[in-house]
Amino acid sequence: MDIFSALHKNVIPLLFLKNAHLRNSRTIHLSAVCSKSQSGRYKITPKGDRPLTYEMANPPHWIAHRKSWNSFNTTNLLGGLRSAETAVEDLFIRKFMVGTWHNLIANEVIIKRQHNIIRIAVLVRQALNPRKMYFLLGYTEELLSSWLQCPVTLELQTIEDKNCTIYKYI
Amino acid sequence: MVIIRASLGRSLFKNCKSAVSSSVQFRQASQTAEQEDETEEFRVLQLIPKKNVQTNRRKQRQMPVPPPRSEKMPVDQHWPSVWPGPRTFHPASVPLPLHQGYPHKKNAPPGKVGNAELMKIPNFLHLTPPAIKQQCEALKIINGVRERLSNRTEFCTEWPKGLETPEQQEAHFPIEVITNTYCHSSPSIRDPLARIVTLKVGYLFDFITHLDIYMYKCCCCNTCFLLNLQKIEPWEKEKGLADMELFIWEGSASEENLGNFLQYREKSCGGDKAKEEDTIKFKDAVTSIFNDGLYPILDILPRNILIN
Repeated sequence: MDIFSALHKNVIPLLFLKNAHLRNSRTIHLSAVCSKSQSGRYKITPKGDRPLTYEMANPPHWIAHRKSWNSFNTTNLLGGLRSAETAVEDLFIRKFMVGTWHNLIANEVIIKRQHNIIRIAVLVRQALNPRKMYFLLGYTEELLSSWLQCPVTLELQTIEDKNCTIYKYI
Repeated sequence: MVIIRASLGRSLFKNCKSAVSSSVQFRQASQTAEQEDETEEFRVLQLIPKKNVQTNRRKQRQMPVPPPRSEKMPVDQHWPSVWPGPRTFHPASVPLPLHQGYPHKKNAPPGKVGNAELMKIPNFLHLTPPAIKQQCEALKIINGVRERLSNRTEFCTEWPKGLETPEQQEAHFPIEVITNTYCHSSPSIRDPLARIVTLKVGYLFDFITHLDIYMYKCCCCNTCFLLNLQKIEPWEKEKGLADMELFIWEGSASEENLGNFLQYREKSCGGDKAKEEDTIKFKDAVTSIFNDGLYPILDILPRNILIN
């Protein structure tokens, strides 16, 4: 029932009839503009030349249908522990990974937790020479495991170019 | 210096500015002019010569990347040694033409290289039938060794007589301790539910004890936990009045105060000696105030008054 049909049926109290500004303020959050969900969605370009990865091409409502989660753990199951801590730690790991492997990571950082082991999976560009890459790998594992107090394993897959991950253009 | 080559003459004609100069400069100019002549027929007159802004960008050396090893794998290789444990999918070590994902328009689903979806899902590549068979055989060998060890009488005492059946065992040892172990995907091994230990005595009693302090000693191993339960650590003797879980009236300040008060009353007023029952009542009241709070005692008080 929208507000005007409600008015006709005398459902809305007199207060709203007298104070039009109040009526408007009550309805603004229900308007089409506000209820539009935008997160995780990309605008199309006039030329249709914006490259999207598979992850970007599927908006959040396709999680568990077309794409999978980026964090895997048992904290949000019934009786799970440390859900808030795990979420914050995951955020930290993501930030750290993106900063440490700067301009190298080609997808979202995938974090899998099994018992006390944290496994981090990422796609990395082949822009560094192997020696530097091995250094970064050890550096990341060592620092993260000392901060998070549990063994951390990095499972990398290197790709030639970021173009390898392009799913479609919009 | 007199010798001026033809090409130099031409360059002088074009760039009049450099005409008057020392011999060394002439030589340099002649060299550059020769080089330019090789590439271009006519050179452009630059009245305001541009600065030579050639940024020397370091070319990134392309590291030679070997082809994925999945291409070189023999057909009859020992797969469990290629993929020994749980691991995120890697296209270069799996010689299978895999695809995963929702296809875009009429294309094929995304392939295995650079496919994040394949990296997300847990795989069972380490649990192929040959790998399971291999592990089972290894377990058989271990169990065989264990059996052989356990059958050797030199390590064991004789099984007590009269405890052959489970019924007999239950009758003689009626106490059962039930503990729970929980597994989580988190760095902590502590779980509040694991602190609840149920002590079963025959079929008569069931009571739950919350063992707080001992769980910090050991959480992961139950047998270890039970052994630790019987120990008294040196720091436990340092437990003061403030560390007590429960208020115990005997030996407390309240008892001392009551004693003093009664002595004072006897001396000053010469009244009767306090009854044993009254002391017990007082003790119970003080204890329950400390242990249960004030409200339970308020509930009890009227009833006591009624009885009295």
